[in-house]
Amino acid sequence: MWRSERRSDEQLVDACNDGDAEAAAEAFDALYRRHRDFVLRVARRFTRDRDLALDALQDTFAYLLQKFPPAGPGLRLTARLETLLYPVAKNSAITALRKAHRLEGGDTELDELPAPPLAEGAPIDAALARLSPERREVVTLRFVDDLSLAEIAAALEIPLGTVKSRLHLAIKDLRADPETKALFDP
Amino acid sequence: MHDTEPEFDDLPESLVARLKRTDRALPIVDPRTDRAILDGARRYFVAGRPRRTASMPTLRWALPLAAAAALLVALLFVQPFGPKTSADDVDGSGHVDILDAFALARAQADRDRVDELAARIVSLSSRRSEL
Repeated sequence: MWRSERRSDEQLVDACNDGDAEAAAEAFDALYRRHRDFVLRVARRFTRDRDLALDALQDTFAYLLQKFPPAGPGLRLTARLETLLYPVAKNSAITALRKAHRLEGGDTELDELPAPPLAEGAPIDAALARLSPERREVVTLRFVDDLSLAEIAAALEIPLGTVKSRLHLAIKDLRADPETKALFDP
Repeated sequence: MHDTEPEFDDLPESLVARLKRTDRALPIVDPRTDRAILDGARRYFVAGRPRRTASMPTLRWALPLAAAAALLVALLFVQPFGPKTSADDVDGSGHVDILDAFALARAQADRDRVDELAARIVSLSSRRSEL
């Protein structure tokens, strides 16, 4: 059973940077417990595959680990840790998916968020699937992961104005979509 | 919801709930995956950093400090050269005198013992005065 951890991400990152071996390992454990599901969710969005998502999970935390001494210079958090983890998890997932694709002989480009699988009788899923991958990604970060617009901009490494524009257009699409427009004006 | 940026369009609650439900059905993570990641991290930190053990300066002071503490305890609680306790020192004053006979009498002890103690004390006192 994992015990609860009250330190903030900043304090845990500081312990990973400067603590002795035991303190650093404990702090990293706590960061992993806190953010594992987020990373796994992101990885699963891009891979749609359990094993590939787990590979991406390992790669993401291996990347984070290497940021800390002795191999790395240390990490200073200037925003939520999710804004750092998101692009790493996304890239790890795409890399894992490409590798699997190559092994299967596929040649499609895999840089975009794939559409969610359509559950039978799930009109909302269909409406989301019709959004462009960029708009769907912004909607997901905003409303599923609860990131602010500035955090989305940091996570996607795009200007804040672009985030606003994509979100605005995504919501406009959903308002117009026959499957979801009734939800806006009940 | 998202009231930090109220100027922006929001989604209806029902749509947000649906989105979250779809996305949060996570695959189960095998505990071995967790262990592999966390054990790897532990090895990484242990390999490159000092362990949580007493450093040399601490050890240098630990021994003298322990010895000083032991000496202090001995001085405070053990009196190897103090007055020896006697069965006749009834009131615990550290020496046997007539007050012990009174204390013994108050305690309603054996009358013969009180008389014997009183006689012994008187003879000791008179011998001391002769000196």
